[in-house]
Amino acid sequence: MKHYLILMRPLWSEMLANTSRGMISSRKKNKDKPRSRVSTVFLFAFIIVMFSFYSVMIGIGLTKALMVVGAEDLFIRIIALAAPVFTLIIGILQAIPMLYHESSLESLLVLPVKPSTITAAKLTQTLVPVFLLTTLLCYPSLIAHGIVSHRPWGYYVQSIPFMLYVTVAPFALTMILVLVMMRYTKWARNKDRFQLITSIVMILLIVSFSLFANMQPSDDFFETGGIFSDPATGALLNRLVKFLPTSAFSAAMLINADRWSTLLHSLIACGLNVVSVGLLLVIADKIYIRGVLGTKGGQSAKQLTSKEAARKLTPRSAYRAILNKEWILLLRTPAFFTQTIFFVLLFPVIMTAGFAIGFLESPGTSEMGMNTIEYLRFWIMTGDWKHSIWIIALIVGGIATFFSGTALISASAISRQGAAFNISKRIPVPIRTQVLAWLTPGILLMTVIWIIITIALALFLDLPLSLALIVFFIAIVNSYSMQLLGFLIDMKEPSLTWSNEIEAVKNTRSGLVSSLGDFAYIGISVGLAFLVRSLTSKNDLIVAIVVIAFYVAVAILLTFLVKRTARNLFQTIEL
Amino acid sequence: MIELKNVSKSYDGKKNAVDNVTLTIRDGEIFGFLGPNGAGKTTALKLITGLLLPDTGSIAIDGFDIEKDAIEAKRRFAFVPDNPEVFTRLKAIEYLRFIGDVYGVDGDVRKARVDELSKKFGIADVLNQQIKTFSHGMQQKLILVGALLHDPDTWILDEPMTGLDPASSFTLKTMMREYADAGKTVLFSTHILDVAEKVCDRLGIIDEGKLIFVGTVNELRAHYQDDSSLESLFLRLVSDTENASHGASFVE
Repeated sequence: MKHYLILMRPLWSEMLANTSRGMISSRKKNKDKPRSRVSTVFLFAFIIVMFSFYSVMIGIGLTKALMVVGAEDLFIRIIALAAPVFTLIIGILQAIPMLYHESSLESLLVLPVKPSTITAAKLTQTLVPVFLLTTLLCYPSLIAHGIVSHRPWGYYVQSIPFMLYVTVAPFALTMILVLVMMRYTKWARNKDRFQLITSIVMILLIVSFSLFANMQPSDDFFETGGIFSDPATGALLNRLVKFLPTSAFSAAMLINADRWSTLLHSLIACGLNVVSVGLLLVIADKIYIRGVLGTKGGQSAKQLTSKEAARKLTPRSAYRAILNKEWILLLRTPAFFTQTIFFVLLFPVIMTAGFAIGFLESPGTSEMGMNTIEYLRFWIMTGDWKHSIWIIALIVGGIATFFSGTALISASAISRQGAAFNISKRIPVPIRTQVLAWLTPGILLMTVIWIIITIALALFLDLPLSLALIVFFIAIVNSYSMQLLGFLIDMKEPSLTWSNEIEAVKNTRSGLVSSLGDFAYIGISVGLAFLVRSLTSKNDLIVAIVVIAFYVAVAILLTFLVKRTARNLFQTIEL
Repeated sequence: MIELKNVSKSYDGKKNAVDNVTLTIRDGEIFGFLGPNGAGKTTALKLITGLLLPDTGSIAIDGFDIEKDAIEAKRRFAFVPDNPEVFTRLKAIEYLRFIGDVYGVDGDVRKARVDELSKKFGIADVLNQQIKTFSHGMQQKLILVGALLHDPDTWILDEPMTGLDPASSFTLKTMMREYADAGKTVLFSTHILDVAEKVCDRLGIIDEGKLIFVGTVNELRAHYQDDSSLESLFLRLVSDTENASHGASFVE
């Protein structure tokens, strides 16, 4: 026990550091300065408040809806089913990196501590964030439900063990699955491949959830409970909960919180949890350390023949060499791929699909009895859009500005190079060539995005060619400007000393500052449009010309700034 | 040839990591930079290679100022850092192609040099692997191969023996000699005084940013009228300098 507690101290600090790292970037100049405790506390408080808010809103809305149909107990079963699902998803995503891919594992394995102690400490380190996140997602809504449905005081007392029971046993079973998989299969041993797959799965889950939410008639969801108030769904959930004994007994414990039977249900749920954890510890003791040792070792690759080597060494221009290197790094680094290419390509497509579903699902929104798509098509067909180009410019400009946020900035950021930036500094290639090569992937990605979106809009709304070209032009100009702004900030304040690739693309200073810049830029363009409109007695054509000219002027100004300052900024970056 | 004139660099604006260093490293010689930990060796090499900018003074490589004629100066040297920081997601062959491209090495020459050097350093079999799978020593060897790909006139190495196996270390020392004998300049920093004694034509000893000795090992022995090893002479010199409040330097 003593060794366990000693081990938990650094593991706990490591876990906290991993959570907050990347959200608060550190620069070389301040590498010896400890991270501000205030900013860390603020960050955690923000996350807790944000999750709790959504959880409470769902708890209140769904409870009220279920009360209408007299099925408020179903809410507890929903939570009793949701918590194990969250535990399973978060558990797998959390466990494999933490139990098998962390570099600190080697320093633990050589310590004169029993393997079972190391195993227990690592499992605890994995459980804590899974439990906290699941609780954060579920517990506030459980309390909100209790208040809205006037549950007895025993409900609130029992809600605490409830969260433990519905999380710990599923966690134990998830871990057994992970341990067996990592010991006897190879699929998750490749760290890069695993990170890539899990990141894509996570993004797809979020996107699917957002599409699902989009497809729900939002106006009456909190009044009727949407699909949850459907008797068939209720029956299905009641059946499903029986397949998870800990969830079934925990739900029964909470539903009957004012009866003596609650103690029996609690006892059985507790017993099942103890058995699950015991089983996990026995299995983990036998296979965890062996599984860890099995993940190490070099990769082999096919040897090159002389002919292949000659082909792979074919000369290219310096620009193409740097550009090719950038593409390889973007495609092969899981953090860079998911945060830039995958996100950039997926997001607009999904957003367009989401809008389309939303439009198609909505009932008639005009007096003419058409839905929004039909109305917009009619509006375009009649040529009325020609009097509102300035509004189209503002909307497209705003969307393009947001789309080209972190993802496109990351695609061009020199921060991605990390300590290897020393190579860029000492190669005999003019800075202008290097800058152009760094910016090219972002520019190409942005062009692809807007081609996809413009084609989608043209198909949905029957855009005439002239309007499609206006949309494309405005979008490209604004995306380009935001990319240059992010690039300039990144050159001024690069994060080159990261130890984890995700730090280079997530929550960097350039991302943060340019996000705020996005708001300012959109605000200025909207303000300018209304100012010109009032000065010109609502001359729509002049307003449109001024707004588009403003966008172009900003793009030209930023291009000029990059050309003018890149060399100095490049030279003053110290390694 | 490398020329440093009154070069100073401070990180914090108070203490100079490199303090008013003036030095000329001639063509055809191997020059060793020695000094205790934190003496300023790596900072000096980073200044010479343009990774840092000096606060005062100037640095020229083959007559090209590293700040004003950066591209021309960079074409003339190759640098091997103490920590092999490379783009680890590239395969070794991709890294070498990248280096060949940015230094404009002709296709046939490039192929021949990669063949020759990768065999010499024992990495020919792993050229198709991602660099991230390499050990520290293997990465160091790859960087050495990359550094020599464009046949630079000046070769600058920071602690080059670190992580190398004995065979590669021997190969490297032999190549350094061959390079110098061919009229090229080799500048390297090291902690290993035996290597410095055997390999270097001249030494520069740096302590607390100041260059406290420049000359041959024999000149150092003559100064102390002591025939002992470089190790004991080095320790004596550093100790004397510290005792004399940095006044006992004898730079040529």
